[in-house]
Amino acid sequence: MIDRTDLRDGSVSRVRVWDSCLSKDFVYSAGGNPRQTRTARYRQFVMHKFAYWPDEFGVYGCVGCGRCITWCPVGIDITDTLNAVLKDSQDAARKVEASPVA
Amino acid sequence: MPRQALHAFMRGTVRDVRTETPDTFTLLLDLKGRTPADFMPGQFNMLYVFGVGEVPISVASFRGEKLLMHTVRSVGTVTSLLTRLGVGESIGVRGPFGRGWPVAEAEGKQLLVIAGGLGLPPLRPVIEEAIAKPDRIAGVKVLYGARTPADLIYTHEYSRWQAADGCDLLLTVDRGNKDWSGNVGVVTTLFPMARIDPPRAIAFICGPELMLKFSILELMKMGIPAERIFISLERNMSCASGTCGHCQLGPFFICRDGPVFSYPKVKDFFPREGV
Repeated sequence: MIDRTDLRDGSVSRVRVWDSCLSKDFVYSAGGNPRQTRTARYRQFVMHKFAYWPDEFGVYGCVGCGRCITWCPVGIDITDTLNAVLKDSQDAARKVEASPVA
Repeated sequence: MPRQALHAFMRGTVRDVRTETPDTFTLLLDLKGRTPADFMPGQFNMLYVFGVGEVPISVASFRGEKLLMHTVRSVGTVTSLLTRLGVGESIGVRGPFGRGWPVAEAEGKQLLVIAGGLGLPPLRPVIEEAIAKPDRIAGVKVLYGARTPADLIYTHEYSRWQAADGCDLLLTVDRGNKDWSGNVGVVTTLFPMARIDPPRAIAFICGPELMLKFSILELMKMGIPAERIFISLERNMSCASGTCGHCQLGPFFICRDGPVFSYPKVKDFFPREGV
């Protein structure tokens, strides 16, 4: 929600605009931009939907509609990301199982 | 605060403007029917310049005062207009938001108030609170750093703070000038001079993230437990009601869960690059 001021006639309109945590200046404030890299912004996107949101509300922050996969301008498939995370944690768990008990 | 009141603003009329530095000003606002006692130390308000936009600004007034106080540095579109307001002009105010400083936990302890630059305003009501009840708080050390002597704010309050029972004020600047005879260096260089008593100290810190990081490190090295370190974090608070996500730090919404956090609560996410 932003206010657009018209310098000519002094009128102001209040408009709703698209906003996304993936845009570069989403968290920008006087101290600078805490999420400088695309990686950092993507991590926030994924973590919010699949970690912070379940912790806060008890459900995933994703309904699985697939729109982000269809329209991602650089071809990121969020299910690949989640499978990669899952595989990493399974590999780690297997490593723990395989190591002899100290 | 009732849910429907979160997005409604009150009219704040400017009664006085104080110049702190060439680009930083203190606004004293009259909020009809509301007094500074309705705003806890460490909470913030959203200040709205009609037709332009909103910014989150800390409450700098103390509950005993008559006017709501906000100190603003001219940095962006909204703040530059805020600092150009004249007496009699009005802005929109919504708040108070967030969790403030746990002042009650400082009772019986040595209170370290550590501020950098514009980190001082949210701590000013804490200092006033401590001065108001010297028998309940066992000494307050105000350690304040700014870039240059000209960047120090609230200079007219220093002699009163310094003279108050049990209150010590130590100042430092990053770069001095020919008239500056005080300490030069970051705020942590004041720690060895402050006669800190780690077993009974509690620290409230507000300032730039790097300053927070190194202050926490130094305090923990001195033996102050993490549970007694409280920090106020800064993010791009926009809705102020834990909804929009602009101020998220990991799972926390700074506007709702902060801006003041105990260090152990946020330590997995702060200080950490890109979170």
